[in-house]
Amino acid sequence: MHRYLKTIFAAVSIFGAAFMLFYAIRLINKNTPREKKVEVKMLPPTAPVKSRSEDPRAAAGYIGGVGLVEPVGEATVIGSQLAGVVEKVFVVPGNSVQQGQELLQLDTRSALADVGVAQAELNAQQAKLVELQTQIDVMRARVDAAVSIQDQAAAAEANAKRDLDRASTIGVANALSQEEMDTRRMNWDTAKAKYREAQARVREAQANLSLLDGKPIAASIEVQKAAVAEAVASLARAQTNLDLRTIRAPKPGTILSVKIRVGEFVPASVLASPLITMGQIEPLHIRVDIDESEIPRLRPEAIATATLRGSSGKGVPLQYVRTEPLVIPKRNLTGTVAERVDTRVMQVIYSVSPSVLHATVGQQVDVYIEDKSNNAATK
Amino acid sequence: MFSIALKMLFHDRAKYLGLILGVAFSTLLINQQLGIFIGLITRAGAVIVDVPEADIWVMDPGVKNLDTIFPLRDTEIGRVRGVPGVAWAVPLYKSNVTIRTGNGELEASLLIGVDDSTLIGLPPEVVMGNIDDLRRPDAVAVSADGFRKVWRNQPFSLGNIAELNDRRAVVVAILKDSPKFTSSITFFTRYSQALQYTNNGRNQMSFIIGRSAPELSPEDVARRIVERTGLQAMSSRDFRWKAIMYVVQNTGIPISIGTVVALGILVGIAVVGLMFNLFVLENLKQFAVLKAIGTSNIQLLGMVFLQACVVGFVGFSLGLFGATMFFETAGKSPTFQGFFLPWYVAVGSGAVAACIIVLAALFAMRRVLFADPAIVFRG
Repeated sequence: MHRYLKTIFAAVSIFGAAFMLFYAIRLINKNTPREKKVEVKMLPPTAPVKSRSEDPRAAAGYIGGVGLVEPVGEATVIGSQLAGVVEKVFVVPGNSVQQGQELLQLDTRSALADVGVAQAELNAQQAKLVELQTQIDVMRARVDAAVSIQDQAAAAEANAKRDLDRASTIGVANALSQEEMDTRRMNWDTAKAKYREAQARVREAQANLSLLDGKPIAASIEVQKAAVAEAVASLARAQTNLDLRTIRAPKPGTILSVKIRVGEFVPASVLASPLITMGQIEPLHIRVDIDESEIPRLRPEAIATATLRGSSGKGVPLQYVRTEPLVIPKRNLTGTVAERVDTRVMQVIYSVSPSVLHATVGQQVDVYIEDKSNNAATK
Repeated sequence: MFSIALKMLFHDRAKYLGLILGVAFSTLLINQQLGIFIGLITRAGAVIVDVPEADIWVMDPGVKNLDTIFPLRDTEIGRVRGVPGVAWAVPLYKSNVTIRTGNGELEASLLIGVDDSTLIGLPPEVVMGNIDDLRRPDAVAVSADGFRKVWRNQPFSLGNIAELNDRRAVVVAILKDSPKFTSSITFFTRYSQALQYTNNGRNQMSFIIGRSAPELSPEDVARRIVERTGLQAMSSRDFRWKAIMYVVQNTGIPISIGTVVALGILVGIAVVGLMFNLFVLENLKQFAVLKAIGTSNIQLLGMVFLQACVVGFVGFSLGLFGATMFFETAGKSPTFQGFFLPWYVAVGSGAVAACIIVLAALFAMRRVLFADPAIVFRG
């Protein structure tokens, strides 16, 4: 019996140990964290992995950069030359406009009143000119009248002279009294003076006529014409003033943003938030920031591709447009704060059709530019 | 013959228990302490483990571990992406923020900002919610341990609101992450959102994480990144090892735990050695009888060795079982996450137990070899 128990004890201890060992191994196996090999569910759009491995040129390497989608020649910011309250807004974002098309209109009431005043002034001056021109005939008639009076005076003078001459001939024989002779002489003198007066009247009338109808210059008419011209000019100025209250598209394009509503006041200055932004979005331009340390590796003819953020897959090929000649401090585009970081970037402009790259203006894209420099080829 | 050996062994239950307890205690101590040690130091690389998608980490050349970070310039991501062999690269933001818990206490927490478009950088295991909801405004994901700490005694739920640096943060997902050294509260959010939570500088990018092209090893690609960009880059395995070694070299953890382990081994050797020696000494008469009836020395040694093996096996199993049960039960507590018994520690402790047993057996065998059969008769 005792030996029997001993055997059981031995068996229990050995098999118990075996069981515990087995259980311990199972626990170890269970609790050891597995190094999980996780596959990426969504490839970062910045990684043209596929295009790279397929592309034999891939060995040359790439220059990566962040690109900003913008309209051709950057966005045009519309401002106002005059301050005023907005009366009408003609466009909404997304509208495509022609050159000269109305965008918005400021309050025109005072400008319209100015135009009315200038128009009335012009009418008055024009009426005055007409009045002066009609006076020409009056003056001509006066000249004619003066001439005929002069003729009368000339006739009277000739008559008086003949009278005196006749008397003188007779007077030698003392046929006439001295008084008679004096009277006739005086008559002749008077007639001569009257004739001179009539001549003066003629000259006066002629001078008056020449003010209105003189050759080459009719002074009064010229003065009035100048007054009319001034009135025309001031009407044009009032009209321009009125026209400036309607802000028109400076070039054809698409309205990108409208930050002004009817009733708001528009100051005549450069604004932090522009009234209306417009630009040409066919094709799109992509402004790519290239870090200054990558500039030597950049070649204009290198193949560049862009990928939209949030979409994976192959990049869209871009056409090189130009390189901005000025290297500028980098603006932090990825963060919210528009602070500058201690690096400079060269901006390269690429163009792409919006039908290929479904991007909107202001969107950021990741751009890869093939590295064609010799430096990369050796690596 | 061997059944005699086992009978001898199981005959004296007190000594038998003493022997196996000695081995078991030693094994338990080694396994438990080393398990904790490994669990502790691997916390240094927890952030790396949580991003299994990436196999390359790029950082400032001065960075030695995950806690002291010098942010990179934003343009560096473009440069890293341009290095041949880099399949993709995304930014990763990491910083510490102070958070006020539900009951008003302050807790240090970790803020991880992951790439906006792909959300690469999140731990793969989702406890509750959907990580795609991180794209919502003010959305954050929180680690499961962090949730328990911030909202004490509340069941897991979504939509809770916390404030990070006075900014609203809405919990949209609860993730399971690896436990960290510094804080068990971890918030995950989008990179851009993380910058808004800690808007404190121009350069913000803590790390760039990337993946090597499938045909290249991450170490090679990391070397290329170092050559091309002058930054520090290494595979996630290397970086994790570096972070762990930093802790090993700069803290007292290895020495304190190493001392306990050494004590465990020492106690094991002392107890088992002495006990076994006593056991053999006590049974010296039996061995002498066996020798007298013609059992060879080799057979006797085999017997002793078998006894030692049984003791070692039972003791080791008991000790290992105890250690695994410790990790199993303690691991259920949320504050004791991330500790486990690595299999290599178990195997190593087995080797140590075997050494102890062999040493003890060798020590005892000496007596058996030189046992004089005559002692049986000397009484």
